[in-house]
Amino acid sequence: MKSDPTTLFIYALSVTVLSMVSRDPRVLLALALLNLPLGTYLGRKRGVIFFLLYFLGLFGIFLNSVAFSNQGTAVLDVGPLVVREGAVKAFLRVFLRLSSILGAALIFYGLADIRELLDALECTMRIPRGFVFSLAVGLRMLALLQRDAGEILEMRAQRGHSRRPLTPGSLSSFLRTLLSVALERGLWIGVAAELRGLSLRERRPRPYRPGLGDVVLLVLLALQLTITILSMVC
Amino acid sequence: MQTVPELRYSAVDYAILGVVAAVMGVVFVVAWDFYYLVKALLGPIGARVFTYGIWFMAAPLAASLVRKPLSAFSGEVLAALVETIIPTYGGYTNLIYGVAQGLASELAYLIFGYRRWGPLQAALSGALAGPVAVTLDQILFPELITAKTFAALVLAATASGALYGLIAYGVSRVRK
Repeated sequence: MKSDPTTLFIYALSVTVLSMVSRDPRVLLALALLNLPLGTYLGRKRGVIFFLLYFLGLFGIFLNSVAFSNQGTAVLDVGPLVVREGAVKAFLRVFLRLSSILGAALIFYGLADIRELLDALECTMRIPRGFVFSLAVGLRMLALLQRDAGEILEMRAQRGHSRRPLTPGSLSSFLRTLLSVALERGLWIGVAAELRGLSLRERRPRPYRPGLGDVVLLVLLALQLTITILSMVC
Repeated sequence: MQTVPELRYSAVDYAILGVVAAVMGVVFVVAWDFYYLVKALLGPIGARVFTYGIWFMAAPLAASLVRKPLSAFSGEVLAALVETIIPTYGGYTNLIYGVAQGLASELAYLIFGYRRWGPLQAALSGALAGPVAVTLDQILFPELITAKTFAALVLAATASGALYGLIAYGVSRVRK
């Protein structure tokens, strides 16, 4: 199913906002059921570890639910740990909310092409071209930064410092080294872009032409919007 | 006293914002593991004191490097966009947080008329993002943040933001 990056961007952002503002568990269930299965299918390339870590994170949310919302009748009584109705309800609401947010994001990750997204941000969504240029530079530099960061961490280890910069001081030292290399590259990327006439370049507006995949996503989004608004009104 | 910088950005300014976005986007992704580790050891308030400010660093770092109006906002939003595009569990919530935090951080420079870009403004920029982030947490997890903990979390996030804002200023001194 091919979809325009504009549709995917709007879809993922809108579902995230709807999930954040919804309080009704039935609405959250509907949002999760519409997004998580499709997102899991499209995002299956992320691998088992991605999903395993997500479920491990949910365990932390369950512990938080027990710490902050453990009220009402006891549901589970295991020695010193008493899980009450309030904690279960709180956990389920947060689980459904996070699942719909993750599902929408996975739909985006599964179908969007980053190069096309950058083009759509500038030409269809009319985001300022300099802003999109910054994003393009940032995304292009990720691989280089990863290599630089690996080398800096290796040097830290060889000099007897902790490999991971966990304290504010070591984070500062790590970032200063990483930035000094990256800024030099950024400076010359900027100079080269200016010499090639970045500021003189005309914007190429591209009209939004939704295809079948876009229509399917927009209908899904309209359905979720209607469910959320109806739950708030009724 | 410095003069008001012009709003027009050069390609070099945009490229520097891109560098900040990439560096901080990567740091944001790695910070999740650190956050969960500290949260397991010190609980939600301790985790906010020691780690939350990391997510507010992009704004003061970008502003201290570029020194132009809207650079704090742009730096935070771009880093959040990079964090959103590198797949994380937060998905598009990262972008929503980034826009809100960026607007709050920008205020620190706006109230000084975009004339000062020093450590005070950087600390304030990080601190102002704290209450906004905790308010968004309250919207996202209303079941897990009680009225009693809200105030403590705001204080923790604000203190953390100020600390990491200062660190961001220190890091920016790498560019003379």
